[in-house]
Amino acid sequence: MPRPVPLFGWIDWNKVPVLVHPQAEVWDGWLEANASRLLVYARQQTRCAADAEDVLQEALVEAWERSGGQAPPIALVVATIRRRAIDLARSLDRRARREDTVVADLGAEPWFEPDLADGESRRMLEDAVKRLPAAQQEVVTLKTWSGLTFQEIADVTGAPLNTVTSRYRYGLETLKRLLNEVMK
Amino acid sequence: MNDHDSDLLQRELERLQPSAPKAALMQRLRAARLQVRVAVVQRESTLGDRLSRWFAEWWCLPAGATAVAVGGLILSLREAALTSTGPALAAQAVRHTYTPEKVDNYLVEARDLGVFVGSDNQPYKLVRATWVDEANYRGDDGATRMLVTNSREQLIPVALEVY
Repeated sequence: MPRPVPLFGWIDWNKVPVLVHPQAEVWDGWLEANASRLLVYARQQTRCAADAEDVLQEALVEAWERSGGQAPPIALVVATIRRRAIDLARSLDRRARREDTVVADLGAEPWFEPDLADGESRRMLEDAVKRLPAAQQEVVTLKTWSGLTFQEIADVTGAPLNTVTSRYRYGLETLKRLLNEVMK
Repeated sequence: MNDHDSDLLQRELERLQPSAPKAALMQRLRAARLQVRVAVVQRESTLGDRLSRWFAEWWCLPAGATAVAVGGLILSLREAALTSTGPALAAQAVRHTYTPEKVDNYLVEARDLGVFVGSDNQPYKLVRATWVDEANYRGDDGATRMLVTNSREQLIPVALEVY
């Protein structure tokens, strides 16, 4: 009996790249574990909640692709969020100049879960974090909620290690001062 | 701010839990999985693959090692040349000298790495401490000041009580 001739028999299918997606359970589990803390950093880096969500989604897709479809290291995702947020801010600034409009800061959404037992002091602390100078706020956010080491923060931000640790220390000092001012 | 205040504040910060993304955002992020596309080629290794691997293992590595050795030699020769002219240049370049006035050490992080049992059968906790040292220097003119910051890590074994 003659063997059937496969369609497009001249193609070696073993050499054709196949596009695959990450496994659903791996992806979903990773999101459950990391989406909250990455969203805090995305909010810190962007001007409104909608921009933060867009940047987070784009950064996740890019970081997973760069990791070959495997769960990427958090430092890589953070670095991607940072770069995409900078790109977005530049394009918004250009558009604002072109259209003579003001880019509004709509970021009034809370960054952290409300705590009913200790709500007032938590809210004061969150307000103080949001009032930190940008460089100090970034280091405090990455250290406390993204769980990066000082060396990883230095790699992500492109700042020397000494600068990063100093910013962290100054950030804590500034937080203390801001809280004392509110308490008075 | 002393280390105790710093610890308290860090603990308060860590108690702030990042707010969970809204359901709509989580749904959107879950759906974004299909935007991730990774090209995968599944095939057995061919003769060409085996040849290139053989070449990489037996020729590229020795060639790379030789290149590193030559590079190191060039750098050491260059350094030797710089060292011979360095003191003269340094003498010309000195404008002010600074003497240390005050040094502050700040503990910015202490992380537990684990517990090990030493050769004396005593358990120890290993702590990695990160310090920021801030040194204030005063210039020889009495007016100029310089602040030098440096961060360093320290591994500290802490003996544990055994009951």
